Amino acid sequence: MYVRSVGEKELNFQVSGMLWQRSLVMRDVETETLWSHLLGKGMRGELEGTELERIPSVITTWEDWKARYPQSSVLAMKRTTGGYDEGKWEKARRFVFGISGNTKGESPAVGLRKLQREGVVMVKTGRASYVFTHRSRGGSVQAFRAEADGRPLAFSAEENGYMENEENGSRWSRETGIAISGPDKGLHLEAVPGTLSFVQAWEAFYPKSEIIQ
Amino acid sequence: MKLITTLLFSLIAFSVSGQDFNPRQVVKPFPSIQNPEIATSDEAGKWVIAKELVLGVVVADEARAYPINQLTNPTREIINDTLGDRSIAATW
Repeated sequence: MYVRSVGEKELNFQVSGMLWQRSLVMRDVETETLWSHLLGKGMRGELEGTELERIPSVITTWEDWKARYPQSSVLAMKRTTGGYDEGKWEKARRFVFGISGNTKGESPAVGLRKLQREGVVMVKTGRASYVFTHRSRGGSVQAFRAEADGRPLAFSAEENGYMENEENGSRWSRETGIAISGPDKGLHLEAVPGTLSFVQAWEAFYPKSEIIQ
Repeated sequence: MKLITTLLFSLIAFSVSGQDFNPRQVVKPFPSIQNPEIATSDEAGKWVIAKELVLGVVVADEARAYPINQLTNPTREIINDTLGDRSIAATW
């Protein structure tokens, strides 16, 4: 999920019909720059070298999303397939959840299967610390910075879609990153934009990425 | 000389990025999708299935769901949209 404005310029993206490393190349109508879909970066043309701002998004079931956001609006185009329901993640070995952008140049990723099994996975890179979370309801995956109020936090999974931080035992939502009880009640973790991707694609586009399986 | 300089420059650019951008045209370009039709949650309840996957996003307290079954086709990979006060490209 990208912000499609760069400076003062609003861009409209189209499918260029090109592939690079077996992956989609986008083209913006306004400047005709070619963009890597997975890197979110201008690769050729006027805006070469520009990185698009990412926004955190989540993939989950409609029922879970509607429970979270009853007033949510919905895209209303004709379906192009019917294959995407929660059974899609049964082949979890093929997927990773990776983060990049707003990550100090790093691009850590965690295997979906590990996330499904453990619910909460701490990831320490050279420059920062993140917590990757999975909810069995809806199967959604998210990543947050593992810090609040300037304090580093270490999380472990708790029942019913919660997690607890070791430092003071506060209980946090894996979904929203908000502390719902304990000394940190009311604090929230900063969500980091990420994407579910095929393992091979992530490796091809982020060759320096450490993938935790 | 110019050729050598160009070659040298490409080599340096390549070693810096580590990835040579060499896209291949596979199919013709598809027109961009702008101002897509949007439904309310109640309307969508009639045709979105409970277990169907959606790409969900919240901007400035406005939530929107993009059913993946509507995004899965080369013609639909990117939806140019506006949510909250932001221009966004819904894609995954």
